[in-house]
Amino acid sequence: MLLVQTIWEGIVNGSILAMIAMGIALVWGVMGILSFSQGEFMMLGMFITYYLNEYLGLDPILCVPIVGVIMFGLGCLIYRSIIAKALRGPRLSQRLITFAIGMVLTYGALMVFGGQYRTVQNLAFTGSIDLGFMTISKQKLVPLVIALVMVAFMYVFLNLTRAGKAIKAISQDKDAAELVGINSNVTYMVAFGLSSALAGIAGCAITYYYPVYYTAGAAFLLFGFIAVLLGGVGSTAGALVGGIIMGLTDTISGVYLNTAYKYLAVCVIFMLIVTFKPKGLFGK
Amino acid sequence: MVILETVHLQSGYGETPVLHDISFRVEENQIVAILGSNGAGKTTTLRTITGTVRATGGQVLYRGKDITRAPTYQMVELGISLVPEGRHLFGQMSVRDNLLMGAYREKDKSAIQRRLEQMYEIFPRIKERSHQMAGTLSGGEQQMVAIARGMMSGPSLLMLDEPSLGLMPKLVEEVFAFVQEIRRLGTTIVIVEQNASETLRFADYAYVVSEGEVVLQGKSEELVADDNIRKVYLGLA
Repeated sequence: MLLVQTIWEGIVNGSILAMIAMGIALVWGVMGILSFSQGEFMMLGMFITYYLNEYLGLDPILCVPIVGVIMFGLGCLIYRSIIAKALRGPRLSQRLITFAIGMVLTYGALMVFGGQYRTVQNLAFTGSIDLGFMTISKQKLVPLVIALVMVAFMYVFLNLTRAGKAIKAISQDKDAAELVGINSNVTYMVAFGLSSALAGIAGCAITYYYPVYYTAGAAFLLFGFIAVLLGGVGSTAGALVGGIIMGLTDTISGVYLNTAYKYLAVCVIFMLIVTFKPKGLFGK
Repeated sequence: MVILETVHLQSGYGETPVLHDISFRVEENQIVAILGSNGAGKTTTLRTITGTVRATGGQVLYRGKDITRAPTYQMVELGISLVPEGRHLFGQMSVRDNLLMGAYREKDKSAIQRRLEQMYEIFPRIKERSHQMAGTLSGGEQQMVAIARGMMSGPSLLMLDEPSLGLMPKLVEEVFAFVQEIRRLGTTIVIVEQNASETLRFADYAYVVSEGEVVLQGKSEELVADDNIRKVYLGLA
């Protein structure tokens, strides 16, 4: 029953990747920025959760809205002070600026928080549910539920709210969106803020079973990007499916091959998709 | 009453100047045509008015108020709507959602509903297609959706950029008939066209633009009546 167990773990990891992927797809679709700092936003979410837990005794579940708000604000700030300016500059700096932000956040975290591994204490849900053919660890069930709630939230936000429609309109045709009265600068900022909030909440959720340390986010970045390409840019459901496929690839290759080969597996899948389904699994 | 006026307007892209001296006036409830050949600066004129291209000199006045530096997204709130060249629809939204996006700044839900029904009445063809993705429509249908979307903000001034571009002659006639119908609703219209002969049939007044300058202006019937103008500026026999 190792396979069933592995698939379950893959789905959990994949749901976290889906949150990273949605943020990457959002920022790319709206403003053509490659969000290389997404993993670091996730790492910051983990540290914020860790300290809220350490000093206020808050469970990560209760940290979700707090981390969301803080990371949204930080994202808006980074957009206004850096990204908005990069967008007026040469394309190469538009592509690389988030990479630099990611580096600064990674090593800034090392300076400020130190390099040791930490774990969040006194979780509200621990133990496991034995189903006979598999065991479901509650420490993994909680992040999965948080991730699914966030995917649903993003779906509703993008499709049913005014701000969501503005984001969709801008990503389809910026000129036309401005002409119908959408302020693209504000919309870009909101999209960037949301994307960093999503990554932060992914970090918050994953502290339920994953250690907190300064390079924790980096491992999720490549998987997140490929999940976007799998699912096709601009589709919430696509990000979820793409994330889960990536999560499954990660855990299955880790268990049946060797963790050293998981990047090999992921990159082979990426190359196969580019070759045979260049627009993603759901691309039209 | 003058609704829109440009005074010695200048602009360009980067270091390349395109408009050198564009001055024109639009009276309320008129149809004013801006004619000229490809590359004369017609589209740039409209884009400078809406703030998509920054003016480097001169002024844009709307109901006497200087809006030269106003950003594009404020245009619909002022009452100006531009139907851009090439339609620029939201291709992955339904026709209906495209129209509703046109009323993005409108808070009054009943006004949105009323305009939507009015547009469906003027363009029955797009009503049939209301749930289809806008990107899958034919060129003529897309142009109708673009005009209808432009009208959804309830503008006082509608500016149309080359609405006949790429359409079959029969559809061109149809689109121009819609333009006249929209004027009857009380909307002032500025229309940029290469198709001078057809446009002068229904425009009240026309400006001819060449190399970024207004080189000629007059009432449509006077321009059409002058053989010399017909030949030199309008390319008509």
